[in-house]
Amino acid sequence: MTIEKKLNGTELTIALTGRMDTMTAPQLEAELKDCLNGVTSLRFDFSALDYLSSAGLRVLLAVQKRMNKQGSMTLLGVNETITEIFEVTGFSDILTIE
Amino acid sequence: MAENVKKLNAEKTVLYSSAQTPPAAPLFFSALQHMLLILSLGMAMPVSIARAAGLDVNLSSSLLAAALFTMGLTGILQTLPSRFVGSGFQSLSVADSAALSACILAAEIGGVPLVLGMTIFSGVLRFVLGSFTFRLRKFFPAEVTGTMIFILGVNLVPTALKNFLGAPVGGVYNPMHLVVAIATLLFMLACSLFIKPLKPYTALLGIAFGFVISAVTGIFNFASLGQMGDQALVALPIYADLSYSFDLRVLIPFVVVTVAGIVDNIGDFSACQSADDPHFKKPNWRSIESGIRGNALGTAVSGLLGGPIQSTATTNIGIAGASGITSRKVAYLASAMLMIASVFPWLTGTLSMIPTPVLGAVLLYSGCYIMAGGFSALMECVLDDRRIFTIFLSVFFAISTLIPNLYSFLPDSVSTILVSPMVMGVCVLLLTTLLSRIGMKKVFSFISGVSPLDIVALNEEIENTCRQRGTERALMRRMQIAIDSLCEGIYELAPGAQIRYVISYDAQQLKIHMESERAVFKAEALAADDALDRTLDVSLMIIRNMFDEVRVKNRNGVLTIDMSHDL
Repeated sequence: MTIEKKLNGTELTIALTGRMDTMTAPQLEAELKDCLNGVTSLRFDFSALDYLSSAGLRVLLAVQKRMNKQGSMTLLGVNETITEIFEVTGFSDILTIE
Repeated sequence: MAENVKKLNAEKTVLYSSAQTPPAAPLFFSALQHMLLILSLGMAMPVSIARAAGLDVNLSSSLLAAALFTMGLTGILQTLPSRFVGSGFQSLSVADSAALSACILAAEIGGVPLVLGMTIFSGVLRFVLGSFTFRLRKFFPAEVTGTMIFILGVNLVPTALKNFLGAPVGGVYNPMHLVVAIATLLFMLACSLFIKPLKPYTALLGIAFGFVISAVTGIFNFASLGQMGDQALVALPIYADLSYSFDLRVLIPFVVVTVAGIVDNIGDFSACQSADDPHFKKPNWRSIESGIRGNALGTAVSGLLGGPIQSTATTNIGIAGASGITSRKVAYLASAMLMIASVFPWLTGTLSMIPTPVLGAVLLYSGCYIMAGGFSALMECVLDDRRIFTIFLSVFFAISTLIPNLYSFLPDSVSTILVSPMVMGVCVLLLTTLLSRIGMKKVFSFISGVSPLDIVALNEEIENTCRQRGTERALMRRMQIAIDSLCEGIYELAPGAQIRYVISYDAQQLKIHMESERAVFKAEALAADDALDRTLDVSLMIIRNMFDEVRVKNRNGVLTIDMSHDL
């Protein structure tokens, strides 16, 4: 999985490409650990993300919990496969998907 | 198909849902229209029992007062949002007209004491049998409950059309009857379709409008109001000559009536949930079971006080769905109004005089919304061959009961119970559901590791197996997502774990059993962790969202997870 970050003031956009699973989710977790300080709007661009597993969902959940305290988090460009995962697992009720 | 469901659901608007409290005016007027309908529809059965038992005016009057009081009480019990008693949804109660023949038989054999004794018996039996409803839910998949709700609407057809069309009196048909019925129906449609603010009160306005034009056209007989003067001003709402008896000769009819009543309750409580939720897909069975217990308790208390066997008020569910006001508070207030009205026989008698063409129009209006609720639930189902036969055979047989003399070959004792759209339709529905399940169950099992490579291999194995067996894609994805998720969670804590999977499914239920081949966890590994810091915690949260029932055990490090989901 490749991670591309773009910071614009307090708005951070992260574009993910490939698969977010057991092997790659810790990579995103490590990347986000420090760079969320001062961010009030976090936007994930999922348009090139092919697969999302529960390890990835765990990272999204942790980030969502953190962003609830300091701003907002939005998922963009979610494809059909990942939308299905969000709906079946109940995450579509927790996350903001545009 | 999904788009059509969305369009149909978009038309369903819930203004005040079960847990919400409407402002005073909508609350009062909604409750009033429900109360008037119960008064009009719920009194036929106690009146018939009083006649069959040969009661004098005073005893008849106290029997009717007890009936009204216990209908109110049962409405409250059925609606309570309690885990044990009450569905949590707006659900009023009326006298169970399907029990009429059994009650008349009891009245002829042992008078009112036997009717009351058997009513208490029916309540207790309904309570016991109804408490198994949740366990029997797999016999009621979405297509069965959807069809049941639809048939509830069909069930209203004979009463609605008899009242709407009217019948010749002394060989002469009064065309003004039909004029009043059509005018009332058109008025209600206008309120509902073109004057949206009036939609919640359509039934009440229809009744008021119907009264006025009935008076103008001479359909409403003012002389009947004068007869109300003979009624007592105030009366205790308990039957004046209470005593109870039991007779084995009427046991079987009352057992049948009770079972039919439970089936009726299942359809009605499903319809209540459908009316309350524009996105209704499948019923909440815990709520249905508690609702049946509320109805059963109400019936038992009703017998003790001199009231009739209780049933959920189907017409009122249609009106609640049509008005968009499904708040529990409306049921509480309407029930309280009934209980208060039971103390004033003169008032009750006057209010219950809704002209028959007006009643017919209200029943037609309500029936449309009940059928729409069932139709909407059915459109969520994939119509495969099995479901086509299950649904439409039962609809065929339900409608067949409306054809006069078609079942004249049956003994009277059987036909009085069986020949109604609801009972006949549901019997055929359950029978075809059971038959169509033969040979449907599919089971497969395998053993695999939990590493990312194992997960990929597992996904392929599930996909190949499901493809060979023609399994629906949505079901296959549910299996894959659950197993992927748990494997990832287990991998983080025990990378070398080997898991045995047993997956079984039929048209009604998906079950997945996962068990580690040997001890892989420390005892505390599955302790609840609300922080969701480990993938396994998130995996368990995910499968609890995905499945109706999840059981996790960690016995000496051997992990067992059982998941089941009603399809």
